[in-house]
Amino acid sequence: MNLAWADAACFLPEIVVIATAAIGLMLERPLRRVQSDVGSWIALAGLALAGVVTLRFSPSGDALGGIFVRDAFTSTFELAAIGVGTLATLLGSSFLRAVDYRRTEFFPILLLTITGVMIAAGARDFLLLFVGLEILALGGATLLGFFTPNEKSREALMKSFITSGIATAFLLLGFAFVFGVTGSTHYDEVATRVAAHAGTGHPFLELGFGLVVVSLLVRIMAFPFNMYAADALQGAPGPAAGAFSVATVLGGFAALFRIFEEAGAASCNVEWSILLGIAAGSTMVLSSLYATYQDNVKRMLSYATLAHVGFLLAGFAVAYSPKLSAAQSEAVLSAVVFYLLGFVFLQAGAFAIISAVFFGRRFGEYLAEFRGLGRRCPVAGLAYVAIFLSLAGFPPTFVFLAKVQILGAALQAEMFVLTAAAIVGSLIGAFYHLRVLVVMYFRENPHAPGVIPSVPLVTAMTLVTVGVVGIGIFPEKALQTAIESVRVLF
Amino acid sequence: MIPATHVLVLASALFFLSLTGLLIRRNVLVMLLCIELMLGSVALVFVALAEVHGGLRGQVVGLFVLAIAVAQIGIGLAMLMLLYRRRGELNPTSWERLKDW
Repeated sequence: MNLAWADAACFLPEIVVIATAAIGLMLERPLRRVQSDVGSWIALAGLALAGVVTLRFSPSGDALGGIFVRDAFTSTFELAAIGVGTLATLLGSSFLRAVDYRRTEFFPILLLTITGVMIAAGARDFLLLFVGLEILALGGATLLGFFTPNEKSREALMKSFITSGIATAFLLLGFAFVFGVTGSTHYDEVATRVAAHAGTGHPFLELGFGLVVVSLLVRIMAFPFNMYAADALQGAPGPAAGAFSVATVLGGFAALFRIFEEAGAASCNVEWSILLGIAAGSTMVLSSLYATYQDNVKRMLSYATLAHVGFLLAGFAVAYSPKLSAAQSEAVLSAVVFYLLGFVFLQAGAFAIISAVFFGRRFGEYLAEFRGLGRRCPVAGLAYVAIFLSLAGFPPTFVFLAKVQILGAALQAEMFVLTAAAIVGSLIGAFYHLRVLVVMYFRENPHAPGVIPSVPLVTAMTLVTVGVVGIGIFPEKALQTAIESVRVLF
Repeated sequence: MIPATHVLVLASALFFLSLTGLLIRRNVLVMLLCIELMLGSVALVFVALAEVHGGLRGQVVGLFVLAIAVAQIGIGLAMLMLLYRRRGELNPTSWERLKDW
């Protein structure tokens, strides 16, 4: 196996992002003295370049002897990761300026985190998948604990770090079981051996894939492995929480897609649709219920994140129901990818709102502190309205389209309990988001809090609003991307 | 020549010992050590299986696991410094600022 230029060309977006991170780290010391936003500008330039490279210059094909593949699926997830990176860079630059915490290494760590997503999306070998997920987990945990003066941020770091460490150990144990049975770590070879055991099954194979799936459920923060998630997202600084939640969900789902479709986990003798359906249903209902109890908007939005994850996982579970034909499961999976693309915007928007109210020492988190925000900062209000409409399922928003498709498929698969859980979860979701919206628009605040409509924050909120509404009105392009990216897996 | 089964038994004993340690000890440093031990035992499993299947793939995975474990402990120790400086103790149950439900 020789490293050739063709391999490097396949990795070009990753190389650009990592190089940008390296430049950012080298310039961190000098930049800290001069108090400027150059760090975020470097990151934005690198991300823009990576986006252009992904869209235009990077060839499809295998790299490094087939352990990494660049196809439509990889490119979609890479673009989503680059989108998260861009929005989180804007939010982060606004955050660092507000709290006067001049540590520009936030941006390189962010870039390395999304590199983990990009690698995990293209990995076709357990070894590379492990490396990608681990870069993602370590970078993500560092982001959560980035604002070290704040004790809650440290607590978020500790909780997510210990949990992800345990998850990594079980992921590797799962890989070891699969490797022990099949003698390979490459998806194609694993799938061939799995197919040979298809009729009778093999206990170690099922145990191995089970451990891998459990560990990925920890990554995507699904019940019952999400006890750390709400704490971690609440304690972390807003931009870091947004970036971490999207990155870890994107990486986890990319790994799930490839392991199920390409490594043959789907053809194991396991009722995946029931196991994943239970996880999905309880994630949706429990997180929605928890969210309604919160006075703290940040914690409420953390639980809202988990409710999204539950819906995404429900789509994934439905796709592996034996009652659906291959074409139908392909359609559901592309709805899941479509939902994931929207999830990027929703999360960035939600955590942008959290970074909008600032009291000089700390950011506003409690419901009462958001009174009147919609009128004093119209961009924030609009962004939240866009998020609310897509969550509540109003037709011109894309989440509605994805949800309708997932629910329709769930009915076809005769998974009625899951469908009911999804509908109940969505209704509760509409309720607690409406509560915040009412406070933002119809309650006056006697002592007006400091709103910081800084340029990067306003840009991020505008991008979110335009993205949510734009994809909702013109969904063809994004739908097409989602369908094409799932098609290469089948 | 030690048979692969012996190594696998050793590795699984090590894995479950460290899992037990992780669950019963209430000290972040010891918990971190247990996680590293779990990773080490899985690396051992891969090396033993490489012997069974032939080829170098399992050993390569083992090396990667060790490298990643080093990166993990690097960040973990930095985290321990941050936690210890503020409180002077490492009991994870004392960190419950975020623990309302």
